[in-house]
Formats: sequence, C-alpha cells, structure tokens
Amino acid sequence: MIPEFGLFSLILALLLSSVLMLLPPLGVVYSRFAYLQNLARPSAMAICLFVVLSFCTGIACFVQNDFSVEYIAQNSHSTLPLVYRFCAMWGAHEGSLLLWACILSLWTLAVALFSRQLSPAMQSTTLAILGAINVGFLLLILQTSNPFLRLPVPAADGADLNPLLQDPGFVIHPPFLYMGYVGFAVPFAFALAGMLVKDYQSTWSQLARPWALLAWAFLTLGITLGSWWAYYELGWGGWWFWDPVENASFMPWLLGTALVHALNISARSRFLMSWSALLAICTFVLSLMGTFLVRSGVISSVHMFASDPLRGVFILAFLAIVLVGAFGIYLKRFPKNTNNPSHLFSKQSLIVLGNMILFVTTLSILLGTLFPLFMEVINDKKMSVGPPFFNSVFLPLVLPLLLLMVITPYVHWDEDNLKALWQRIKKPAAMLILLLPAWFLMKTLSWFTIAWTTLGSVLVLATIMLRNSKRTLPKLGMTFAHIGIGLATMGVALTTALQTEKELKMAVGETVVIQDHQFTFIEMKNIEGSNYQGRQGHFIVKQNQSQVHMYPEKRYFIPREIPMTETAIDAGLLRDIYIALGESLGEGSWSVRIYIKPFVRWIWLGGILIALGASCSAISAFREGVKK
Amino acid sequence: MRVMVWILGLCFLGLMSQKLIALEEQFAFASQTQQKDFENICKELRCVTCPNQNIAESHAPVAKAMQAEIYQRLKQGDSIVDIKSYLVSRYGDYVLYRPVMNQHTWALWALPFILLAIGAYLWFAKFYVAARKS
Amino acid sequence: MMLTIRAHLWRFLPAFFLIGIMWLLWKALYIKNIPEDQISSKPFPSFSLNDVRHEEKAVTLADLQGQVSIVHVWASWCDVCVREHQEWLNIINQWPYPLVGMVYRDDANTVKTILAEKGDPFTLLLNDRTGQLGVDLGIVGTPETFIVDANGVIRYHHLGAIDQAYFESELLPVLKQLNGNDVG
Repeated sequence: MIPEFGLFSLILALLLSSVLMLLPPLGVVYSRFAYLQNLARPSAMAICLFVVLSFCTGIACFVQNDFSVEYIAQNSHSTLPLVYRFCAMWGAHEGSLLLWACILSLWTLAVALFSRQLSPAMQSTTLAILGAINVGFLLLILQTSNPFLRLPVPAADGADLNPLLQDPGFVIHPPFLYMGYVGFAVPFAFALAGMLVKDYQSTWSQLARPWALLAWAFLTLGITLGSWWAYYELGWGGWWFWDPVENASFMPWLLGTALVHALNISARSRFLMSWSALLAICTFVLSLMGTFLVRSGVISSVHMFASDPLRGVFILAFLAIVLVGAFGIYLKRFPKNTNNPSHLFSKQSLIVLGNMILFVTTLSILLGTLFPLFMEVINDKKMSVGPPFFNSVFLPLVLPLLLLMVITPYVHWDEDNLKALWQRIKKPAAMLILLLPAWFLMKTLSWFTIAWTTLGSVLVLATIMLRNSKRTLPKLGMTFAHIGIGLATMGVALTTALQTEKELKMAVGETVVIQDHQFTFIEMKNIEGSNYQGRQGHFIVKQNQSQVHMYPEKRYFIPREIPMTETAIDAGLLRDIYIALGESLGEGSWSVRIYIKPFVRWIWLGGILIALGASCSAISAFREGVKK
Repeated sequence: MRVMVWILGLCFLGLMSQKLIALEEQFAFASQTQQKDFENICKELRCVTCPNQNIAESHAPVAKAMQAEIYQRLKQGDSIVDIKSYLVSRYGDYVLYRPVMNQHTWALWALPFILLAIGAYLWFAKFYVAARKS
Repeated sequence: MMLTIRAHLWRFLPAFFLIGIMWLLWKALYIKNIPEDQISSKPFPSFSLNDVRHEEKAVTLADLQGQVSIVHVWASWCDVCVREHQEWLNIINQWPYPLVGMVYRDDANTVKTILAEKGDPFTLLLNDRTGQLGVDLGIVGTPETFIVDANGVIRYHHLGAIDQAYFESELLPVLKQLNGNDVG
C-alpha cells in the first residue's frame, strides 16, 4: 500500500506542477485572469509537500525492507544496517532521480516562501519556470524511472546495496551535491523571468544573486565531500580523477563561480546583463547535461548508473526543450545594459576577465569529456581522454586566474591606474618576505611545485592583508573563499610533490621504514560485521616519540561477494598516513599499500572555507534583498 | 545495457580472481628512475575492461598482465615511447589516457588556448571600446 | 547596419554550440558497444610457453604452423569459461579440429584438476602465466577465441563465450573455408 501511496503522491505533484507551469503565466499575460497569479505560491508549496511525501514513502519502504518493490529488491538486503537503508534510497538511478525531484521541489518552496516582496507577475513567472522544470523531472520519473514498481513475485531477499556505497560518505555526498546542482535552477528561473517581466529587466540579477551563492556553496561542499570520500574509500590515495562524472559536477561549479561574480557586477553596476543571463542559463544547462551524461550510458565511468537508452533519449529531449525555451527567451528579449562597461583597468573589468578564464576552462573540460564521444560518432575510432590531458590544460588556464585573484581585490571598483595600485600594494607585497623561510625549505622541490605553492600562499596572504574600511559580511565572504582557494592550491601542489607511495609485501611481524616513519605489521585477525566478514590488520606507526595504531581492513560482503578495502588513515593537518591492504600473498604475508601524504587535508579545508565564504555572502545578499 | 553488464562482469570476474588465486606480483626495480618511469607509464595507461581506471589501480587480469609486460620491457631497457606504441598496436589509441597529437586530435589540444586568446581579445575590445567612448 | 547584424550573430553562437552538443549526445546514445567478431589478417605473435599438462614441453608458434587451429583463451577462475568448457567438449567431439587452449594468468594445478574432472579437448594447452601472450594478442578478458590458419595468421577473433550452435553458424564456415584448399 505504501509504495502506491508514494506513486500517487508523485502523480499529484505532477498535476500541481502542470498547474503551476500553465495557469499563473496566463494570469500574467491576460489581465482578465489576473487572479490566477495567486495560484503560484500555494501550488509551489503543495508540490513540495507531495514530492517530499513521496520521497519519504520510498525511504519507509527501504526501512521496512519491502522486497515486493523492485527498486528495494535491487538495492537493499535483510542484513543491511539501518543507516544505509536510508541512503540506499539514492543508491541507484530511480531513487536518485527522485532525490533530484525532491530537492528541486524544496528549492521551489524556498523561492515561494521568500518571494513575497516580488510583484505578482515576477512571482508567477519565476515559480512557473520552476514548475516547468518540476514537470519535466516528474514526467521523467513516472515514465522511465519509477522507483515504486512492484515485482510480480516479491523477492526473497534483496541484492544488497553496492558495498562501496555502504559508508558514511554516501549519506552526505549526494544530497549536498544535488542541492548544488539543482539549486542553479533558481538563478536560471530568475534570469528568464527577469527577461520576461518588464519591471525586473535590470533588477533580476540582484534577486538571483543570493540563490546562486547558496547553490554554489552547496555544490562546493558536495564536490569537496566527494573528493574526500573517494580518497578514503577507493584505497588508492587519489582525490580527483577527472572522471566524466566528476567533470559533470565540476563544470557547473566553474560556471557557477563565474555566475556569482558576474551577478555581483550586474546587480551593482547594471551592465553585463546579457552575460549574467547567459551564465545563469548555461550553468543550469550544464547541470542537466551532467545528469544526462551520468545516466544515459554514453560515457564510461566508475560512477555510472545502470543505463537504458530510453532514459537517455528522454533526458535529452527534456534538455532540448529547456534549451529551446531558455534560448528562445534569451534571444527574443535580449537583456540590454542600462550602463556602459566600466574602465579597462577596474575591479569590474578584472572580474570579467576572470569570468572569461573560467568560461574557457569549462569549455576545455567539456571538450575533453566529450571528445572521445565525438571521435567515435564521427570517425568510428575509440580513444581516451584522461588525467594527463586535463592536468595539462587545466593548470595553465588556472594560473592567470589565480594571479588575477591576488591583484583584483586591491583594485578600485570603478577606475584605477597602476601607480595608485602600486601605492596600495607596496606594504602587503613587502610582507611576502615572510615566505622566504618557506622557499628555503622548499628548495629541493621542482620549480613547478615551488611556483604553485608560492602562488597559493601569496593568494592567502594577499587576501588576509586586504585593509577594509569596514569588516562587513560580504567582504568576509570573499576573504574566506579566496583564502580557501589559496589553501587548496597549496594542498594540491604540495601533496602531489611530496607524497610517498609504496606498495610492498609485508609479513606479520615485519617492520618497514619509510620517510623516518616506522611501520610494524603486528597481526591479522578475523572480524565480522552485520553483513560482511573480514580480515583486519593491526599496524603500529612510530615516528620520533609518537606512535599510532592503525587498522586497515579487507571486507567480504556476504550478499554480493565483492571484496572491499577499508583504508586506515591517520589524519593530520600537516600529513596523512594512509594504509590499505592489497591481497593475501599466502603464508601470513600481505600486499600492503602505504602512503604518506603531506598537506592533503588542506585541499578539503580549502573547499570548506570556500563554502563558508559563499554562505556568508549568501546570507548578506539575502538580507539586502529583503530591504528592497 | 547488456554490454555494460558483460564488461562489468569481466571486471567482477577480475575481482573474484583475487579470492581464489594470489597472483599479485610486486614490480620492483633496482633504479629509482626506472621505478618512477614504471609508475608514470602505468598511470597513463587505461585498463581496457574497466569503466575508467588506470592499470595500476585496476584489479583486472588484463591490467595486471599489461603491467607485467611493461615491467619486462622496462627491465630490458625499452624506451617509454616504444612501450606505449607497442600497447597501442595491440589495443588501439583507447589504451592511452594522454591523447596522441594527430590530425584528428589537434583541435582537442589547441582549442583551449585558442579560446583563451579569443576570449582575452574580446574582453579587451569590450572594455577598451567603452573607455574610448567615455 | 553590418555592425548590428554581427552583434546579433554573436548571441546565437551559444545556442548553436549547444545544439551541436545535443546532436552529438543523441548520436552517442546509439553507438554500438557490442564487440563484433573480427575478420582480420594479423599474424599470430611468436611465443614460447609450456604446456600445462607436460611442463617440460615448450610450445612455440612453429607448433601451430601447418594446420588450421582454434585458439581458445580461458581460465579456471573465470566462471563463464568453466561453464563453457562442456560446450567445447561437445564441439570438438563432433568437429575434431585442433584446439589449442591457452590458460590466462592461471594456476596449473587448478587447471589440471578441471581437465581431469570434466575432460580435455585440447591438443595443446599453453600456460600464459603472466598474461604476456595475452597482451600480445590484445586480449581484453576471458573467454576469447581465435581461428589461426596454416600459415600462422589470425583469421577470426571472437570475444565471449561460444556454444555449439554459435560455433556451427559462425566459426565452422571459416574453418571449412580455410581448410577448403586441403582435405576438408
């Protein structure tokens, strides 16, 4: 009964979304039906209610392990711990699409609740656009990816959740990621509505800005969590693989970064309107394209969902409709600037230059991700584009961007010149002397590493030393975010240069010395969990006076019979020690991977700081909006 | 869809092999540079039966066999270029994670920088024109 | 006038670009990923491996010359291959072509046990312990099957398991054609 209730909720939500999509706009266009505009906010709230209800029934089915539902039978098991039964909901395609729809409806609700100060026309149009996106997703779910389908005969037991996903990281990474992805639908809706509704043609960017910042904050966290999770879960010490699915989330992030900066300019200076609109559209389109890539089977990736060409066609059709609609509006109601562009040498122009670099970077990653497909379709040749390409292209593109980030905060908003800038920069630049001891320590490293580390640290220092007349929340936001980028850059450069990776054969009782750390393999014992059996190694790591115990494991999950590696990590601000068990080599010896990774945590700390900064700016932007 | 299952099945079989037979060899070299070379080559080669992993990270038998072959050839003194072209002759360009530069792929490598140049020009044109006007 | 047209054209650029991408993605949905049987003429690589059953005996490419043979790559750790073994017993029973087996990264004792339990259709059984001959052949997984002509040239390559029906419809014609010059 419960699954059917979930299905019925979805159908109701679809009907309500159709209402939201069609009726309020009618009220905007025809004054006769002006009262229809009042339907917008209540429908939005009702849609959210029903989609969330549907999502909760899905979870309830998992918690009860109702194996008569096909989706539950494919993704759960009687021995699956309760925590993972909750998140098994988004463990495969159907459920994760429902999570998408659920989060979309939550954003729609948020816009409905915070849109009271908007005119009825603006409210209706914005919500109607969000309603249309809801319609698309609910149709997609109901037609091709229904998580509530019943099996003709209930399964005796389920196939279990993929053991890779039975981990705390899986509880938080997808929700945060989706909050970000999906959240960009809101600035998208505001941009289109702004172009359609007469009074808001120059003010929509001010309205869209807080929402863009918030979505961007979530996406930053989602990507950071994903990287951290891959690091400890996959057992190879890697934290970014340029995997197509990772790229699918990174591209909206890059464009989102450009968007939040462009909206800042549009809102304050009333030019760059068409560029901001274009960015708002493209960011969301890339989110949708990412959704397509991950689920259609055209790309081979470790993250892939089981695919079905029909689903791919449906998502592509939806994407095409969104494109046609959005660009139709964009071209017909092309936003006109009310002001001229600023001076060539100004904070605004430099931010736009940064935007340009971000845009080109996104295009380059898109090029690399889609090129194998292109070759296969055009020339029927199979080729691969992997980390070597992306690293070779991304790094040179980001270098000028980081330099811009160092200088731009010191430049005046409207007009500036080099002499005045130099006067302002002289003192902070002198403080760079602080870096000299660091350079001395780094002299054994490659110039490449030194350059990047220096850049990162200069960025951090330059941002800290910015003298602000008032310590406001927005400035704090920028400070945190830019420092975050600097830290992450330093983390990436240093960990790549200084890491030690050793794969060795160790017997119980043996001791190995790596980088003045002493690793002793104490013992191996059997362990048992609720749905797995395993072997747990006990290592003692000694360095100088301190010692730490580490317990890497090898788990064999009973339902799916896949061996899983649980890495043991001793996390530290300055270094991580990372031990992963390979295979048993017989006679008490094992293949062991030991990594020492200095400064790797700085990467994720940087990510968290960026998200913190974005949140500060989002909060202050929301407050500004309310004042209007 | 079936093919995906088939390929994943092969990978899965690869994983299964670890339970039954321990065939993990250790690839140790006398010289540090050769060890580094080996690690770098392995990171640039794709496991041909896995969704998206290099041959060092993959457990699949094909990946391990490739590593064994590379190990032998490096020990014999073959150059990195020769080893890669040998593997390409057997598995096609698909096995390389770093796309080769040829008449088909020049666009892939060149476009990012061409776009950057175009973008810089457009930026300059827009702001310079405005500066001239005002 | 020209200036305004050019300005307008710029706006269409993103739209055109994205339409191009949509077209690409749509075409990509229909890429066939099923590995098709390859008819080729690559020479079988030279090798020197022991026979699993008679470890002193070294087998080389010369041993394959002079007759049309089927080379079948399999492994005891591959469930599909072990199940397919019965099919090969039936096939060779009915069509006694020389069957050269090759066990891929496998343990000789396990293989010998399986042959003892189930039967041994192999004329020769190469022990590719490290998998290097497999790399030379471009093996992607197991099982895979090749047909090699009397001059040591690979004429046919199939990825995946084979049953008797498939053998009779796809491989047998090739074998018969290659043997057509000699006694069939």
